[in-house]
Amino acid sequence: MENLSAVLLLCVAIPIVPVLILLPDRRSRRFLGFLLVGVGVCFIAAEVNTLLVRLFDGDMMYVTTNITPVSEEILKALPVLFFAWTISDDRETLVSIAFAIGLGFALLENLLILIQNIDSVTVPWAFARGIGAALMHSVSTSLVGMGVSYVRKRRKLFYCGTFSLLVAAIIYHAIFNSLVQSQYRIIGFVLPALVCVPLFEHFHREIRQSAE
Amino acid sequence: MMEILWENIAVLAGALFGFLYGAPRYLQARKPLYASMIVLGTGCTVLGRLYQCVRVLTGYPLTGRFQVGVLGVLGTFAFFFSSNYGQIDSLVDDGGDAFRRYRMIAWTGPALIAVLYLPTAFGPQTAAEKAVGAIVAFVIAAACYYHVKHLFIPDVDYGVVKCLRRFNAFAILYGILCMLEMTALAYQSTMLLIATGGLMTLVIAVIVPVMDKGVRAWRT
Repeated sequence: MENLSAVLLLCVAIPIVPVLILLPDRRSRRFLGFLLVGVGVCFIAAEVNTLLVRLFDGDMMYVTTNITPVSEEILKALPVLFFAWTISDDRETLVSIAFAIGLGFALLENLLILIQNIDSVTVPWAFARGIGAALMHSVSTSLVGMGVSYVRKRRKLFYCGTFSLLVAAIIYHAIFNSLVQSQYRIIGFVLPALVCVPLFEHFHREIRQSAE
Repeated sequence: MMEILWENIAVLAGALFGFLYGAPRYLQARKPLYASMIVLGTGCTVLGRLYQCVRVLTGYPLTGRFQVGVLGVLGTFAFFFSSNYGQIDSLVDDGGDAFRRYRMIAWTGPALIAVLYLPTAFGPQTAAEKAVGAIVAFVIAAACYYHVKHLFIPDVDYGVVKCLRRFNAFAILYGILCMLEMTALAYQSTMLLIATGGLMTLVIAVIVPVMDKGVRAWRT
């Protein structure tokens, strides 16, 4: 079927738009809005990935473990960077919108993979993919969000810090992609949860400490 | 393949030790950002080496094409560069003529890295690998500029850099070892790979404790 990613994008995005308009709370609206942005970014990434696979002679394994982590992390970082540059560089807000973008991205990506492997998917697959991919995309984009928060405060740290955190996010993403396509796929699906717990515990402790 | 795997496991273990030593001490609010960035740099080595271990275990080579593991080295030295350039350098160098001599001496760092890149540049690898190697060498060289500068510059006002000299020496050594590892992989030299891997493990394991000692001396 042609334009499958466009069909899935519309299926996910159309129900969200009215909710986005009707929601009274600004923070919830912002979270849902950036979740939608994440869905859109995934649509663009899917098109870019198709071109990249063609560019690397259809070597899907090489592209998914080395090239798409780079392109996807850069694409996911762009809306966070734009938000930090134009609206707010508050760290808490940036991490929350980065998390929403990662979640939206994982949502459409899971649907695309589901449709492509419709004959082989199972309930355990859905469970593992749902937790693993969603957390992986959210955590990796949140990492970049932390670096981007320096955009206006400390310019010298922003450039190098964001680059370094982007690199960390890319490698983390590549490790996940390599593991889930190998015989060690269980580790791949558990890894994001293992990384997520200390990272968010650390982030919440930081917020508590700065509030005090 | 096996020696590459064991070398990566060893460096991963060393970097993990350094990261786990530094993370509870510095990855929290109201701690010196300089130290946090060094710890995060070590974290990048952990991720890069973990990726390389996974890649070898899943049956793919580390050489021949671009692989994401090299970004671990890039991330590490980008953090090291950022910590020195963004946090410390303005405290010790106002850009005046008095420090010109030290800025000149600092160029020996990038020059040394450039010389160490030459065997890779004229080696048997593909053009893509050489280009990736050049980017890695550039970032290491940029970080080494400040590491060498802070090794020699007199720290008259704050006494910060004086306490961190040993750390800067270890960071330069780690940069040199990364370049030698690149050469070992390019020429498939097992002996050089084992030697650099062993030394890298030791250096990356002690780099955070050494930095911690320096930071504590500076804060007391």
